[in-house]
Amino acid sequence: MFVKKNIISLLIVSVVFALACTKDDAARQSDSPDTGKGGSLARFTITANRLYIAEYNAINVYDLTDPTSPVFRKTVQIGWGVETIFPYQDKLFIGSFDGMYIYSLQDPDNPVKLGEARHVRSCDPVVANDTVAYVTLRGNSACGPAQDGLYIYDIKNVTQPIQKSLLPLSTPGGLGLKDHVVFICRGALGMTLVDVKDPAKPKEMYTVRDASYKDVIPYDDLLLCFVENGLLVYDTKDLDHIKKIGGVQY
Amino acid sequence: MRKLTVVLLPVVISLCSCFGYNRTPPPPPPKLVWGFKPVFTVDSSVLEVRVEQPRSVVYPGKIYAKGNLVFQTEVGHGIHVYDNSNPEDMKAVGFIKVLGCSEISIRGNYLYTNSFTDLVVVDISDWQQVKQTARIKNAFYQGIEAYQAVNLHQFIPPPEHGVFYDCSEFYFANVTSILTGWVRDSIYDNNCFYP
Repeated sequence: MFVKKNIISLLIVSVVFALACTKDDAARQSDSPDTGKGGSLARFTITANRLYIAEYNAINVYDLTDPTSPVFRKTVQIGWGVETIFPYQDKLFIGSFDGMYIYSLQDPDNPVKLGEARHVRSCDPVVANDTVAYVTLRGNSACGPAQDGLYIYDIKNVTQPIQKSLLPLSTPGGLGLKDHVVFICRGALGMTLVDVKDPAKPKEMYTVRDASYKDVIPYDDLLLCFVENGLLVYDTKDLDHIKKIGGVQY
Repeated sequence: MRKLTVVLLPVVISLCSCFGYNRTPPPPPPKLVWGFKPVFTVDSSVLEVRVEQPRSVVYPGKIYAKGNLVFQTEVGHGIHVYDNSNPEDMKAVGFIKVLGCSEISIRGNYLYTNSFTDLVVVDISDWQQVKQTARIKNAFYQGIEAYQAVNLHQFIPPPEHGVFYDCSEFYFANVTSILTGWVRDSIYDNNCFYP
């Protein structure tokens, strides 16, 4: 009984840790106009006609060929403390306690690990494009010591992500990417725009401070922000001067 | 004599600190405090997915944008629907009730979410008349069975932060019991704490 209880408390502790790190914000994607854009903690995601569910240490694959009724295909074991899942083209980027993993979806039913950056102890979300992955890290969380900031990785060779740069920024959280600009939610510190035209030299542009920011979804020329007391919408046609145009208050 | 004191005092102090360190004080007896007790039901109709009037936001969760609609989960209870066709005048237009919900993704006319550890598919072609088309038992966390039993409270958090809540009942909850929410009650402060 004692042992059993211990195992259960251990489990609870690990799960609480997982939740503590889990962000209420984060990675998003869109692989087709049909899918729309999602955000946050993204514990599951749809791409390539499959639904990928990230559970604690594994990914479950469901076939959505019949969208009304998903069919279970497979469970793939992955490191531990899986946090966020972000698909891009034929790859899955997975942020976990102990690293960022990249999986190939060439066979959508059978994700295969291509590479990983183990030193990225990422409790935070990942967004990516063809050649670059962006990760925010928060050092003071349960996720381990790291310098707060935006970490940029070259993923041309996905089997070996190379850190290109680190832009120190305190309390970064959910992030979004539009053209050459990364939006980084920093809670009460605002939302910082970073120019990443040159991934080796990211440049802080400016910070808007209309609220306490948790997560963003850039879509079309709009930016939808999940803030502490509601939702805000920005017009992002001119990235040098984004404009708050609306929203709702809780 | 004075010399002796000078020599002995630090030794005694360090020994004291040793004893103090090793001896765990007896835990104070549990006190009754205001907190929350879980409410269970065996009536599975609470799992029904349906559209209701907009409701106030307590625990805003994940966001999702599709077309002119913006969705945000209300952790534990469902999904707020906002009309964003005119961003200058974004409006709450409804609430899709999904008990135990926290995730959201959309493809075509179908919304995918979770109800506790189940995967739920909802036809939103007419979002005012939504229909559940599938519910897959334990699609989440199928690897960790203990998780399902004792961590239901992660799916519907207590309605306030900084409170004690009674989690002991989860160990004994029948598998057919469904957590629907919380009721304020006096509980012992050696219970779980929601920070």
